[in-house]
Order: sequence, then structure tokens, then C-alpha cells
Amino acid sequence: MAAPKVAVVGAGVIGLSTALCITETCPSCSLTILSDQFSPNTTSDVAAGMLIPHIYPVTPVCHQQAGLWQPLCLFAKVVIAVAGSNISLWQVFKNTPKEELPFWSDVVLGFRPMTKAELQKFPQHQFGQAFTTLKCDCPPYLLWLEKRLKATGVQMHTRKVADLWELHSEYNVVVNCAGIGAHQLLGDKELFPVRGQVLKVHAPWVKNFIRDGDGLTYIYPGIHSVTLGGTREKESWSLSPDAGTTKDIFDRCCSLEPSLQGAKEIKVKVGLRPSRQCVRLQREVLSQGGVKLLVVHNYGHGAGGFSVHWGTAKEAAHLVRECIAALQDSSARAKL
Amino acid sequence: MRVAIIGAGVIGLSTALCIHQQYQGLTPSLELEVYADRYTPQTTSDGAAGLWQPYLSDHGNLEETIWNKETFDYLLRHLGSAAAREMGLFLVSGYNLFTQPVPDPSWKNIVLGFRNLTSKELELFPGYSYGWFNTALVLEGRTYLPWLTKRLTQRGVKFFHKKVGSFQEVFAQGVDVVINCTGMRAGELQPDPQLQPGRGQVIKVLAPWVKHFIITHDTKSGIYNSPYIIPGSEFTVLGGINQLGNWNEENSTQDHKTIWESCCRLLPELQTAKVAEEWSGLRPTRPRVRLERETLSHGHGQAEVIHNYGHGGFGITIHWGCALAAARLFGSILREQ
Repeated sequence: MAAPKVAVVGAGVIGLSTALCITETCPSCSLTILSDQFSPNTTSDVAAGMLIPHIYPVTPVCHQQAGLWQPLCLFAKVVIAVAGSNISLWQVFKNTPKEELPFWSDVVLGFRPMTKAELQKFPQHQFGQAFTTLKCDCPPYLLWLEKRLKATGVQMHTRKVADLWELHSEYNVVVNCAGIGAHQLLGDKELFPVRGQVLKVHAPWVKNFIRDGDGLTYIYPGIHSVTLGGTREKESWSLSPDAGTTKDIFDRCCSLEPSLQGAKEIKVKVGLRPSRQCVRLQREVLSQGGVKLLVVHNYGHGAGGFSVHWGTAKEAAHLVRECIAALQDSSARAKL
Repeated sequence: MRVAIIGAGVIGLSTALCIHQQYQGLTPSLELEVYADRYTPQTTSDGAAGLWQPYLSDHGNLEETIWNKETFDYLLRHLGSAAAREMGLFLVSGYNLFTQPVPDPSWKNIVLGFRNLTSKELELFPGYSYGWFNTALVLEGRTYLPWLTKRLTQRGVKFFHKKVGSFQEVFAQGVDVVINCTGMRAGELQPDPQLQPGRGQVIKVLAPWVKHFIITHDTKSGIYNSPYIIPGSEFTVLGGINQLGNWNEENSTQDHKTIWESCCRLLPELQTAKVAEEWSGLRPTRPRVRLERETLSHGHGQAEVIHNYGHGGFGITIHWGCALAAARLFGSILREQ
């Protein structure tokens, strides 16, 4: 058969990294990226880009996905060279968590409990963890992914796909990396937004991260700005910044790091975490009237998109290769 | 009571502030004056990266370890205050790297979260097989000195742009006590064969992705003769030069090459960093800090000098502890009068 035509729907960190992995596993494919948004307007652009595996709900099903951040650890050097840093410090808890040693403690670097002297800086918190992990600045990272893709001849088109089936005549395989867009695209009722509002501020003296174990308040220093967060509002679809929330985030972060009072150039951003019990990482065959469209789903990464993107991209590329093998198989059989 | 502080680097200004804070209330007639031919941003303190970190060993100078601790604790207390930004003070974490195991330093319990590096962390630094991680502070001289100056000006301390030729010259003007914070050039006021320059050179680059300090150590080449990288609030400081006996304050192309190549080997991403500035300065190196009283004869009577110089490459690290000690010596002078 002619070079298989693969379309990746979505150009956030999932779509772009998946596309890059596909160029490696299926070099003979003709690959196109279709998205209604590209950087800097994707959900990924808003994200802080921290590698913190524990953001995932750990259900028995998801445990299979437990190793999905390992590939990113191996890829970390490349990310740092392009658009990231290793950053260190503290996750503090008002109440001591049940697990002394979380399952992700050996994924990050230098994990240890905080000392008493360190905890003195946080009078409202009783316990803490110290570690070093990867933080990526997503906008330049996405641009770098786009550049790498274009260099291999991948096409990118701005296009709003209303229904995956509309692609059946142009493409053999569709990879669905639509993120929160999958809600409208597929009507997946298990997918729901968790709204996050963040502030990106100029505070270059902040070199370390601080995160409250409740996941609501965090300070992540990036290359050119510090991300202050945040909110986790389930089922909220609003992409408009809320002024009251902005003040609340700022106050909460200042109570963890008082020097932030001097922060300047405060920009407010909102993203909808495409949340699901588990990432949907599986093949599907759509068929109508004897015509088939092979689909690989890779969406629903919730709050952990950056952490697991490379692992899910590799897995999705593997599934695409299986699809192509199946197509070539049936094409060969058709010739007999 | 007229007190003259000679020298306006971190030692001179902090000693002046400490004395004024402690004794202004007790001695209403206290008049403090600062004399220096170089003020910020031309002092040695302005060029330094400002990382709080003593040398690996205090060589038995336990007093110095105490002064280091007093300084760290003093700065840590200020971290949560609004003053921190104005002082140029912030928290920073990072790595000390070695090619072989070494004993823990005298300051391991002063800094926060001191620990050995894990083997995974050492993989980030090929060529190094042992190391430490800890959280410390940066106090940027270029911001701290103006802050000290402002505090002193508010308190009515007077500043004179003047090169002092001798202690006698100052006493002859009616000054009662001189605080000698002349750093590198203390030998011009009173010969001191133990004081010698430890010439350093640094390259300041734009590399905002660097969030940790990295200090490498080579026991053969000596302290600060091995590459180091220290993130600042605006620039990242690259260094690794410490030439004992070299008085040259001009930048050297050879040293630039040494620093650049060794730091880029340590952190290859630095190759894309833009160079913003280059600076050379002389660490006032001495086997131990000279912090003591000296009574000099002047005319028919006596005059008091408090020496506070010779802080090598750890002036910012030790400054407040020394200021407190100098203030105590001043107190004893007051009591005798």
C-alpha cells in the first residue's frame, strides 16, 4: 500500500510529542497535525510543566500507567537543553500524609523529608518533603517540538475537527490527542474539565519551588517567569480569568513565600485540565458502511499531562504502528 | 565620641550599622563617619556572586565558624521580611562536587537540608563521584551595599569620599576610634605580611534557566580554582579563579577562556548564554580574619583601632558575625572611657 496517512488531532504537548514519536516508530508514514489551536493557545501553554508523578489518582487500572513518567526522566536532559531546568525544594503539608515514602520518591532526585529547621519557615505546616525534579517551560518546549516536526516534513494545519469520522476519506489512522476537546469531539462522558487559574509573574530571585501538599497552592520558578497557582475547579468550563481568584492565589503564595509581594508583571492564565479516571490510551475501530477508520486515543491526562507525556506518546506511537501493521496485513490479504 | 570606619565594602558598612544600632542609644554623642575611596558599585563586595558558603575547612578557627553561623541565622531571619528583596537576599540550593569522598564541612549544620548526593544526582555531573546538596542564601553585594548605605544615611552617618593615608591622619582630625575595614589594601595603612590578594575573575551571563549553584572542588588546585556557577537575581556568575599573590585587577583573556570552557563542560547549555559582564577582584586573603583591638600612641595619648579585615573569599558569608564581634570590641572601648 501507499505510505500510510496518519493524522494527529491536537497540538498541545500530547499531540506534538505523540507525533514526534510516530515519526520515529513509523518513518514511512505521511503525518499531519490538525488542531484548532497551536502554541501559545493550548492548555499546555498554561501548565507549569512540572514532573511530579503523584498528581495521578492511583487506582488499580492506573497503576499500569505508573511507569509512564520514566521515559520523561530519560528524556530530561533534552528537555533541559531546550526549555527547562531542574528545580528543587519543598512540598509542605498542613497534616502529615499517610505514606512516609510515596511511590514516586525514587522518580525524582534526592527525595528526603524536610528537616525541622526547614519547616520553621512554614509555621502552618507540620511535615514536608524535599526533592529535585524537572520543570519545563511549555511554550518554548512546544515550539521546539513543532520545529523538530517540521524538519521531518510533518504538515501542520489549523482546522477544527468536528467529528473524527470526517477524516476517514483522507487518512488511514487518526490519533486523537484532543485533550479537553475530546469532550465535544467524542461525547466522552468520563472526561471533565478541572479548571486551573494561574499567575505568571516576574520574580527572578525565586529559584526554588514550594508546593502545598493539598495541590492548591504552588510556586514554580520557570525560565522567564514564576508560575503561581492555583485552583482545581471540577466541571468548570470557564476560560475567563477571575479577579477574586487572582487575589486569592497571590495571597496564598505570598504566605508561603513572602518575597513574592515584590513580584511584577502579573499575567493571569486559565486552562482546563482534561481529567479522566485514567488516560484513555487505546485503539478503536470506527466503521460505517464497510469503511473503517483506525483510531488511537491518547487523551485525558488531567493534571499530569507534562509528567507522563513522553511515556504516553511512546505508547501511542506503538499502537499506531500496530494499526499500520493491521492495515498492511488486510491490504495484503485483499490482494490474494 | 567620633568613630571613623575606613572602608565601604560589606565589612565597613555592616560594621558601621551594627555599631550604630547597638550604641547610638547608649552614647548620644556618638558620631559615625565612613571614609573610603571606593564606594558601591566599585568595591570588592560588588563583584562577588554573594553566595553564603564558607571554605570547606575552618582550619581550627572556631570563631570564624561561629561568625559564619551568626551571619547565616541573621540573614535567614530576614528572608521572610519585606526587607529581603531590598537587601538582595534570597534562598538558593545547590551542589558541591568532588572527585573523591571528603569529610563534612564545618557548616553542615548551619545551612538547611545538608546531605550527600545520591548516585542518580551524580550522574548529572560526569567526572564527579561525590558531593553535597544543601540550601543556602545569596546576598548580592550590588543590592546589599546600597541598602546598608540607605540605613546608615537614615541614621545620620556621614560618608566621605577620601583615600585615608594613615591612621594618624584620621586621629589628628579628632576621631576617637578607627574601625579598619580596608580589606585588600589594609597593608597600606599598616604592613601585614599575612595579607595577600587571591585574585578572582568572573563572567556574568544571562542564563535564567540555571536555578542551582554548582561549586566544584579540586584538592590539587585549591579553593575557587575549580569551576563554579552561581545563579543571581539577574545574571548567573561563572567563576573558578583564585590566584594568590596576583594584584592585577584587569580581566585576563586566558582566565576568561579557563572559566568559560570549564563551566560549559559542567553545564553544556551555558554555551548559548550571552555574556553580560566580566569582572576581576582581589580576595583579601589571610590565614585567619584579623579582628582585634590595637591601641596606638597618638600625640600625648592613645587612640584605639579595631581591625576587621582579611575575609578572603567569604566576606559576605561571615560579615555580620564579624560586625557583631567588632561592635563588642567597641563596647569594651566605651566601658573603659
